[in-house]
This record gives sequence, C-alpha cells and structure tokens, in this order.
Amino acid sequence: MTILRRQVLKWGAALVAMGPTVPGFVNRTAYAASARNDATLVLIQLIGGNDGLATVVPYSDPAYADLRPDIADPLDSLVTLTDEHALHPAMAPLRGLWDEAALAIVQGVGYPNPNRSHFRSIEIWDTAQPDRIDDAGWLGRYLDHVNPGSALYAINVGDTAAAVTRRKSQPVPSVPDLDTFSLNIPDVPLDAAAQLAAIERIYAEAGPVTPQEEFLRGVAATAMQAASDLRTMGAGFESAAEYPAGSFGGSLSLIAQLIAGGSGTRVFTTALGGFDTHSGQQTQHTRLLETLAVGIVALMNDLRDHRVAEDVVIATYSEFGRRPRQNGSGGTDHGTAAPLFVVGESVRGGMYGATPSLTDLDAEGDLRFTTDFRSVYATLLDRWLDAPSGLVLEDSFPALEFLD
Amino acid sequence: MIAPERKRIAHLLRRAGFGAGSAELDRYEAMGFDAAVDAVLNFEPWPDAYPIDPAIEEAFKEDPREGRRLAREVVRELPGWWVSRMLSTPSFLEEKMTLFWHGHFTSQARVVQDGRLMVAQNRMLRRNALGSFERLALDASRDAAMLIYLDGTHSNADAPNENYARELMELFTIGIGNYTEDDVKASARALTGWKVQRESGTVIYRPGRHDNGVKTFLGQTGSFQLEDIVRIVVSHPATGENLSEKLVKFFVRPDPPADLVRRLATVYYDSDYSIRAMMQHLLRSAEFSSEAAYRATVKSPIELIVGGLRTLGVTEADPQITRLLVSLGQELFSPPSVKGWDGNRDWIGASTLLARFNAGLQIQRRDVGSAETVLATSGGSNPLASHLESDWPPPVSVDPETAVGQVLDRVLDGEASAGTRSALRDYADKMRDSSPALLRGLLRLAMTAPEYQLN
Repeated sequence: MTILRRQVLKWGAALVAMGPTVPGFVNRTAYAASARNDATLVLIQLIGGNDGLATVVPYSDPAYADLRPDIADPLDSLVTLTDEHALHPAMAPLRGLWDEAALAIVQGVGYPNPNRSHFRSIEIWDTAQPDRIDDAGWLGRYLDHVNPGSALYAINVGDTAAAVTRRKSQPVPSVPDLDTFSLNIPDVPLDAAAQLAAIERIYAEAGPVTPQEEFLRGVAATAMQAASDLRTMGAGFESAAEYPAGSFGGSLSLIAQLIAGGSGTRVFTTALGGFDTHSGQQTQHTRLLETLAVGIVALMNDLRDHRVAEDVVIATYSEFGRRPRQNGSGGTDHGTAAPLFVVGESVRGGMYGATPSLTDLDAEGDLRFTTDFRSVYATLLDRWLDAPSGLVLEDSFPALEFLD
Repeated sequence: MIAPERKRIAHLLRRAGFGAGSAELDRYEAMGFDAAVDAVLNFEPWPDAYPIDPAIEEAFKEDPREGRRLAREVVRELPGWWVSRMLSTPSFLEEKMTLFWHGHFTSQARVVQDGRLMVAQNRMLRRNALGSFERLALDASRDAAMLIYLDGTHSNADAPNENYARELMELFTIGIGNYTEDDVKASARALTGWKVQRESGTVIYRPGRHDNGVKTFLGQTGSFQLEDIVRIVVSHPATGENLSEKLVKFFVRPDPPADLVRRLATVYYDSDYSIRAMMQHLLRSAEFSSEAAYRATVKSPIELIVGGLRTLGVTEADPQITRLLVSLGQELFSPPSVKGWDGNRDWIGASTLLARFNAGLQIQRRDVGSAETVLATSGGSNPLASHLESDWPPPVSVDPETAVGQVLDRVLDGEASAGTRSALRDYADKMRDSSPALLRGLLRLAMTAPEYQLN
C-alpha cells in the first residue's frame, strides 16, 4: 500500500467516524482517491425468501401490527433507525454501521409481475431477466464483458457453482475452504510427479471431445489453476474479527482472508440459507438475521483491520419477500418486494427507495414493488464495478444514490 | 446404437442401477439386452431391515427433549445405511428409482429433524418406486416427514399454509405456468386436516382442522379433500409430460428427445399412471440405447462412488463414505432444496471436481506391499480402498500395456479418448518398476478422466 493511500485511509476513517453529518462532497473527495480498480463486490444471497417486513420494520404504520398479530417483534425490542423504520432486534449489531453512514437500505426492491416460485424468482434475480429464461447470471455477463485473465477474479465461496456468476465461457470457481481446495497427489515423489503429469495431460489433451468433456475440461482447468494460485494465498493470515459460528461465518472469514491476501478477486458470492419461514418464523428468522448481522460486522471489522475496507461493498439479495399477512402457522408465505442491504465504507448510508404501502396491496395481498432490482444492479455496475450497466443488463435502469 | 453388446449392457446397468462388477456384467450379458431389461424391471424387492429403536418413542413419553434428541440422532446413520443397500442389492432398479423419487418428493432431514420419519419416507418411496404415480403422490402428500417439511402439519382451516400446495403443483406434478395463485390458495385449503403426532411419528386426520368448504381448483369446483387435489393434479395433461421429461433427463440424457417424452406421457395416461410401464418403455426405447445417450450426462456423486465400488466388486460401505459424498456435493436425506438435486452439470464445480479427483486418489493412499493387499485392505479412513475384494484381478502382469488395458476395460468400458489412453500409458511406463503403485495409480487416473465423470 502506498503512503498516500494509507493517509487517505486514516483520513477516511476519521470522516466515517463523524458519521452522517459529513457533507456528501467531502466523502466523495476522500473516496475518489481510492483506487477504483480495487473495487470488490461481496454479494450475499439469502436463500428461501427473506421476510423483509420483519427485517426492516415499518413500525410507525399501524397496519403492520394488524397484519402480524402473533409474530411481530415487540416495538420496544426493535432497533430504531428513522421515524418510520426499525431493524429486527437481532440486527442490532448493524446499528454502528448505520450511525457511520456505511449501511444503505434500499426499500421495496422487486420486479413487475412477481413470481412466487422460489426457483423461478431466484432465476429472475440471478439472471436479471424477468421476461425470459437466460443461462448467464448478470454477474456472469459482467465477467464476460471484463473477460479477466485470472482464475480468481470471481469466486463463489461455497460448495456448488453460483447461478449469478454463471458465464457463457469460463466457469467461476467455487471454493468452500482452502484446506480441501487442492489437488491431492501421493507422498511418493516419483508417483506424485507421474500422476500430476498424467492428470494435466488427460485434461489438456486437444482433439475431438464431446460437449460434456469440453465442459469438464473447462472446469478442471479453472479448478487446477485456482487451486495452484490459492496455495500460498492463505498463509500468515491473522484475524481478530469474531465471525458467527458455522459455515456462513467461515465463508465471510475466507473472503476477508482472500481480499487481505491480495487474491485480486473482484466478485465474491456466498449464501446463507433457511429463510423460507412458513412456520415458527420468529425463532428461525432471529437466528438467521443475527448470523447475517454479526457476520457483516465481523467482515467489515476484519477488512478495516487489514486496511482494505474502502475497497469492498457488501450487498444482500433474496428471491422474494414474504406476504405481509402472517399465516396460521406462525409464519409467512411467499411474497414479493423486500428491502436489501448495501454495506461499505464507500457506501452512502441511509434509506433509499419508497417504502411499499401496507394497505394498498396487490391482488394476492402482497406488497407492490417500488424499486426495480435492476436499478440496484445498475448502481453496483456503473458506480462500483465500473462496467456499463446498459450492456450487462441489456437495458438501462436509473442508478440509485447509495454509491457516488 | 451402442455396440458391442457388453458396452450396451454396462450402460444399462449404470443407468438402471449403479454399475456392475465383471461377474454381474457377465451374467446380464449372457441374457442378451432385451431379457436383461426384463430382469432389471422384474426384481424381487430387497429385504428392508432398518431397525427403528422402539425406545425412542418410549423416551418421548418420559422426556420429550430426550426423545427428540434420539430421533435426530438416527439421521446420521441413514446415508451410510442407504449406500450399503445400493452397494449390495441385486435389485438395483428398486434402489435407483427410490433415489430418483428422493430427489422428487423430497424432504430435508435437517428440517424434519427425525430420522425415524426419514426412514419411513424412504420406505414409502421404495414401496411405490415402480407402482402407480397416483398412489405415490397420495402417500407422499400424507407422509409424516413431508407434512413437517412443507408445513402441512401446521396448516389448518383458519389459516391454511401454502407451502405444500404450491410445491405439489410447481415441482411434483403440473409445473409452473399451469396454475394461478388462486389455485395455490384453494388447494392449500383442501389439503388441511393432516397432522403428525410427533411422539409416535404417525399421521392422523383431524376433521376439525380441515376446511370443508367449496373450492374452485384448476377449473373444477367441489368441497375438495386431499385425495381430490391429488387426483386432479395427477390426471392433469401437463403432469405426464413433466414426469416423462424428468425421467428421460435422469435415465437417458439431459437434453430429452421430444418424441420419447411424448411417447412416455402417452404410456403414463394409458397405463393408469404406472411408473413400471413408463420405465419399461424408456429402457427398451431406441433413444436409451442410442450412441447419443452414452456418457451423455454427468454422474451424480452416488453414481460415481457407489458405481466405482460396485465396478470393483465392493459390497460394503465404509462409514467414511458419507463424508466423502458430502464433499462431492450429495448428502443423502438432505438435498439442497425442495427441488432435489438439479443433476448433470450442476454436480460439477471447481471444488467438487477437485474432490472427485481426490476421491480417486484415496485408493492408493496406503503404503503397503502389493496391489493385491491394498485392494483387499479393509477398515480405516479410506472409503474406496477399505472393502475392495477379490473381484479385482491380482497383478499377474505389470506389463504397462496390459495393465492399462485391464484398468480401462474395468472402469471405462474399454473406451477412452486417445489423450486419456496415452496419458495412462505414459504413467504406466514411468511406474513400471513399482507394481503396487502402478495399478492403484492407473485406477485413480482412470477415475479422474472426464470419461469417468460421465454416466
């Protein structure tokens, strides 16, 4: 890191500590000095359809209590943000980021003619194509546009490939952890060398192959390159951040490790599952939101400790919100629009987008969306990843102001 | 058409089952393909002896917490138990179809939290594996694990829960686009009344919880019950096609030939929803035996590991095998979502492909004197090597050419690309003086090749 940048960082931290009172232009000036070519996106999918209304509660609206007589959290337990909105009690850890203006909440995010199927709706979110089936994810199209040379430019932290980064050409590696992500060879040196050579040869062999073999060769090349690049990446990483127990915390910790280790990764995707709360919602939702909030704060702290926080923007998304009216099982059924979070030192904290009405619902009794989800993507593309959103999203959508 | 006959039989045994060792392959080859298909279809149900400890239900009475804990613990034993069945059963189509249905009418053990109910669901799927789809859909709709997993047990007339109603249509029968949100709401009402008794794990019908009112569902009106909803969706014109397509993708090829799907759908309706009739048509079809179906889809981790072990004559599962399968991306009784496993290319990511490569290596981790003893060693932390038995020929020759031929014949139907073949040949030349490592290394390499990842 250059001396100049370290100074900017210090200054940046002081400004952030002053919180929302810092005039926007000062913020902009400070961050304009950070190298935009280090801009990194961490995208967290909340699998199952997160209940937006219990996450960012429109507590001042009397209709809320009527819709949720049994499962609304008590008013005095909520974490008040504005005159209208409060966070779920389990998200109290995010309060600090809100006060520092590093947390943006985008309200009412959805799309026209909402689909209430988990699978179709997440496909729409992943591909940014509500009207047709597309194989490539919107971040996959972004990657095809950038066409990076590095196998580590985008990484899904998890076991299986992520749909949102699915590309036409080269696959994006999925890395659950550094320990198991390696090609094992025997201890006997002669055998080891002979096997390595053979495997490389098997997968490098040109010539007539079937499309399935071609596909396998592509993934193998990425996997072996990424495994080789990652071999030294994790070394010497130390962290004081307190991540939540479990695999989600482990994933976020690995993301911090790779960013701090200089992997050059610009897009990380990961996921937290279990949000399909049709019954007994409160216990499960509380646990999940706590994991999410503690995880985000730990990741931010870790990134700050390693002086890379201003390079990173964290965003969440989920296939849909849930129905405003609770069901008979202490839960909520599939719904439509919901708020999402954008976090980072480079983020302009605050509330964006109009809060959907709880009384003017659609024919199914669901919220009407107020912010097109592709506006969120367009903002991340144009103002963070420095990519032409019109090209990637194949249409133009107005950017939001949570990034400069 | 896949030729020669032995290769076609091997293809049949991989798709309808989990692959076969040489003795089993010999036996089916001697029958000829058509008789082999009949033999595969007309299996004797393989005895099911999973013991559910009655002490669990007793424990519930004494201390519900302890009862729940014991019931949860059963879950851990189940994947290994099922893999053992897959390894040892001669009635492999029964097991393969049960696996197919496990990915269709699916439930996740981590939500159900009761291994007894997962066993019961597994038995229900096996009992109906080749029976009537209507009976299967009925049993699945009233299955205890399913009622918990998709919230039927919480649903009642006052506030029906839409979870099962939606997935019954979207994933299990008619498919997305063929119903409205009103149909979801109407069927959710009709499906109310069924409840799981947690101590015993039995399902009871409580008329007081059922919505007896008139519902309009998919254009029909009546005071529908669960049985009516199932009858309507099973007989719906989209269900035959959806089910046929799913079967063809799973058993034939991921890009399903439209004509075969249409024919299977006709069989579905003509046979009163008989799964056996559909599978008979499918396995006998020209499409199934066509070259385009050969190695057309990616092996699931189960097919990779169980198939690999069966091919080498292994009939018992090492306890470690569950962990290995998880690292490869398939945890039995815990599919990733209500949609089951997507299959084909979704099995392959950078980490799961590396795990496949490493699984092949586990064969040769042991530092012992000869290939013979390595392949026969049992126990320990080596899932692939631990139960290899005498089915594998001893290393009578370390002639590189012969060794490569033996391994390719056994593992890849003798059919590998020029690149794979020459890479194995080079390896054998380098290792010709260390015979114990040679066969193990060749096995690992053959199982690492792209050809082996395909089914």
